[in-house]
Amino acid sequence: MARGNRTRGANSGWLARNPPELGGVGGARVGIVGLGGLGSNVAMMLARAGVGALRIADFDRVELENLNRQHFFTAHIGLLKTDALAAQLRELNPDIELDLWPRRIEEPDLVAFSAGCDVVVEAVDDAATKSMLVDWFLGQRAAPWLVTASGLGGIEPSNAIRTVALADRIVACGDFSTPSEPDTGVCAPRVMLAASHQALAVLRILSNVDPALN
Amino acid sequence: MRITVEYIGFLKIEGVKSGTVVEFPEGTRAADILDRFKLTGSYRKFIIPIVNGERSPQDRALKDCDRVFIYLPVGGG
Repeated sequence: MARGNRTRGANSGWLARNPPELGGVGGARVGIVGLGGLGSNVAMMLARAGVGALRIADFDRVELENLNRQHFFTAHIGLLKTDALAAQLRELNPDIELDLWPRRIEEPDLVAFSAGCDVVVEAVDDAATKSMLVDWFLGQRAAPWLVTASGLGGIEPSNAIRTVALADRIVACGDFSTPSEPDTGVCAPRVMLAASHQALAVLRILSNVDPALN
Repeated sequence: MRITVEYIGFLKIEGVKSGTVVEFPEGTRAADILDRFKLTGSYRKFIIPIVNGERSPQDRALKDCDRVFIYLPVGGG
């Protein structure tokens, strides 16, 4: 993980209140597949924690209906999510290293996408792609950690969101029950709860702490 | 042979709590477990059987004392 600290002022200023265990995250690279409610918020949280490099992927553009949960604003409507998020990340940390993939990630992309990453975050919204990603990472001997998500819709109780270990180097966050569909809806508090679980799991992994220990 | 069956979330298996040890015939595959527990809806293709913490095709024969985690991701993100 140690590639030198990319985060300007990591030892002072805006990271002064970081837990000491996060001292090395400036040298980490995290990949995020999907920049919707989960991914956009995970990216911002990891950047706030001082993670030095993010590889972010999404094919989509910001739409008005995204704003109830995704880390975008009206000025971003119509922009590629990769571009809109990159602008915000650089506003937070001008020295952050960003690798933008403004396209859909398919299985043939995963070797290149995960190369050099310490952790990959699965933040897509369809079950098929989630299943593909978990299955691919399960089949790899030397892949990075995967932090996946499942179940974050509606207004079900906060305490139903949790982090569990699925397999070696794969953890999952969510309530594992509530889909984000038209009849359940999806709202910022619950989505960001799941995103927070994912972001904290990433930080714990980067700090060599069991991410699923409750 | 005895297989520990685990699952999470909205999957419901009548009469089998997650973590229960269940008797299956020799040669049982993960696909057979899904059939026996009637996990046959349109979501079947998204189910990932994780056997002893590792990837396992649904048509691979299981062994005595295997632990099968039936994982079905739920859409949303």
